[in-house]
Amino acid sequence: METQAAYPNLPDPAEAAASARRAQVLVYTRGPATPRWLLVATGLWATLYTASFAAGDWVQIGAQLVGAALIGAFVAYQQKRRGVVPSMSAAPTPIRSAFRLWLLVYGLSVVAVVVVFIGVNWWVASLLAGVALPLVTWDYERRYAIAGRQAEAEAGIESAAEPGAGE
Amino acid sequence: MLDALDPVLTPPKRLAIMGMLGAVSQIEFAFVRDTLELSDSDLSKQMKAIVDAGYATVRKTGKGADRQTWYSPTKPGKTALDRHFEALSALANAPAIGDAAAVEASGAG
Repeated sequence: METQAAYPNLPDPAEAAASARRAQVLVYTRGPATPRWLLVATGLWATLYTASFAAGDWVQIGAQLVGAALIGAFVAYQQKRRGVVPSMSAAPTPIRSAFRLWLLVYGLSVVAVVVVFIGVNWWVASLLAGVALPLVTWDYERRYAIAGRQAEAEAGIESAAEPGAGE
Repeated sequence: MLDALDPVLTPPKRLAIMGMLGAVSQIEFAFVRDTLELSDSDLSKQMKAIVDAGYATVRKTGKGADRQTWYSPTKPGKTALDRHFEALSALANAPAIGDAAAVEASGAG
């Protein structure tokens, strides 16, 4: 009886859990789109960053510091703009798969650029990096959008207007 | 069986908010408000209950129009959410809520 008194308006447990699960999925799928200038910026960044390795030691060190600072600034900008920092370990399966594939393709691209840099020359490697990174980023954005729609459908979220939470 | 439910997380709005917190390292007030379509005052009230229970920490950044309020889940908060989900799942698989409460009440009496 005490338990009943503590939960006078107990909601349907299955619906309560499903509603919370829908809210979890929305963490990964809602928010502003990635800025359009990102692809151009990643291409420029990758080209200049790769080319800096052909320069002297001090230029390399400076380029790596500036490159790291730019990435940090973009991550901070994107987090503030989006308002959420999702945890990939708790992501729905389709989104986690897209992320893992991005990591793999990104890693392979870096290896390819390094091989070309060593085996061919620095400017071919720089051009390759400038093309590969935007392509990998574009492909990830595309796969993430598809995975997001799949995760929403699996959670029972029908449209963008669906708030995901109960009353 | 009902005793396994966490009273802090029983209200559906609060459970949805905690569900979001369980999937992030940090989340901003406006994102939760807009995603769950809650009013500022309602969300503030729910967040206060969650923070007071020790299930999230709060951090304010910026000044003026740039001001943001970020929440991060705590380990006890994530544990409480997992246990609450388990309890809800057990309840959902039980014959009916009324029957479960009756069984519990008869056991207590």
